Amino acid sequence: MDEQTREEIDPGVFRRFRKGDADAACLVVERYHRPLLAFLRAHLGDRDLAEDVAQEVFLRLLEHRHTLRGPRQLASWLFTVAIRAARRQLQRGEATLPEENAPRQTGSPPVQGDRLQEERRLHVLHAALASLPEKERELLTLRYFAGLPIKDLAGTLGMPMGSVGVKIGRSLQRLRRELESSGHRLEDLL
Amino acid sequence: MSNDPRIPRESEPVEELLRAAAAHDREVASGRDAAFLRRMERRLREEPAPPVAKAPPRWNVLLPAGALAAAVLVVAVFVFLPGRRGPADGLLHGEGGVQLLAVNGGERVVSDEEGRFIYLLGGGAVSLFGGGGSDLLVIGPGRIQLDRGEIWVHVVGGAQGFAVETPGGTIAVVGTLFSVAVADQTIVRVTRGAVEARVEGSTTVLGAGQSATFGGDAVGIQEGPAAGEPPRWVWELADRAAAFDWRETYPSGSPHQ
Repeated sequence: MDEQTREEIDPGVFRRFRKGDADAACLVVERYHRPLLAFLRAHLGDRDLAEDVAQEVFLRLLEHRHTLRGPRQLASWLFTVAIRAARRQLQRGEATLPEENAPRQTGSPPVQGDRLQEERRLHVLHAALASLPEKERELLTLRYFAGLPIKDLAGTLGMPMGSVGVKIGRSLQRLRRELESSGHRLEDLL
Repeated sequence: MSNDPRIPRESEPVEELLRAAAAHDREVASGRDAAFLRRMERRLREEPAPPVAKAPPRWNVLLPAGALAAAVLVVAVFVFLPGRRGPADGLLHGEGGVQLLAVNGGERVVSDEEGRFIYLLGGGAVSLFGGGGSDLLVIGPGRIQLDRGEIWVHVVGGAQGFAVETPGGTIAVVGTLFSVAVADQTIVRVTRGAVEARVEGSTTVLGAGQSATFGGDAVGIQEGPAAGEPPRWVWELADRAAAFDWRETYPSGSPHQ
């Protein structure tokens, strides 16, 4: 999954992006839109809101493109700003609670069979993630949904690289406890 | 199975669950992601790139000649250098607009009513967002004194021990986001995390959503109404702080790391 975010934008493309070249800007968006949207969906639990926030983050990047020195800074910048934007949404209460977003058999579009099972699993996981402390939720969603490598995680969350793995381990343990305390057996979810 | 030795064995199923859920999310959202990309590309090609955000206006810096070179070089930051403690030996006067500021330990900062400050401390571990009409003094590492006005303090991490002194008492950082306003009295509002207010020998911990008043004619700490959301300008400054590039200003690292 890390391959999503390991590949950096070509320095030449980055220089054109800084100058305001539309093609280069499209390449930057193409490169980062999937991990950014995946992070925001997992964090906010709302696909529409995630797209609104992602658009806001990319437009902000365009506005501040002159502050970046090179392509290596893009991921940390984007996810740092995305985290702040997501926090604002959560504080304003505009994000949908996972309970309200639970998949159902009825409704449109119809969700059936394995797909429903997958949606339910995702919903259970979102609910458990939502109950974690903010930092731990951010750490896990950035790592597993956005696929950020350790280096970018450290840069984005402002923590030493050496402590990132340990904190991921602790956050996973807490997530496991949250899942189990809400009556879900891991074996049933896997 | 995880190949990271720091992931406890009992957490490996959780990691597997996360990876599976992420893969499913990518699969079901791939169509929406593609539509999002098309919309963004259309917008980027149809609308000219927005102008870059304006560089903040310069401060009218009144510094001793020895400190002037540093002020010219640096865009932002209190510099908490060991050995620079002591009374104010410099005065920085802020004018209207958002300011990214260079301040040395022992210096005083005053802004006019329209001024807005961003100070990044400790490599970004602490961000201070100052409102208009602020008057504060950098006492030393991890400690400032607010004599007038309002600041918002955002602690990202690793800044335990940071404290704001006011005429009525001291606010020590336990958690993350809070404001301190000083007028006749001192008002503390905690948005996230917690702070410890030390007043007249007693200590009170204020958690998220709480506020308190002390100083002036009041005795001790008076609990205030529920702390509301930070004003919009705080979030705007927070975004600017997030966009600030430390490495561009300090290629070899923060001056206080």
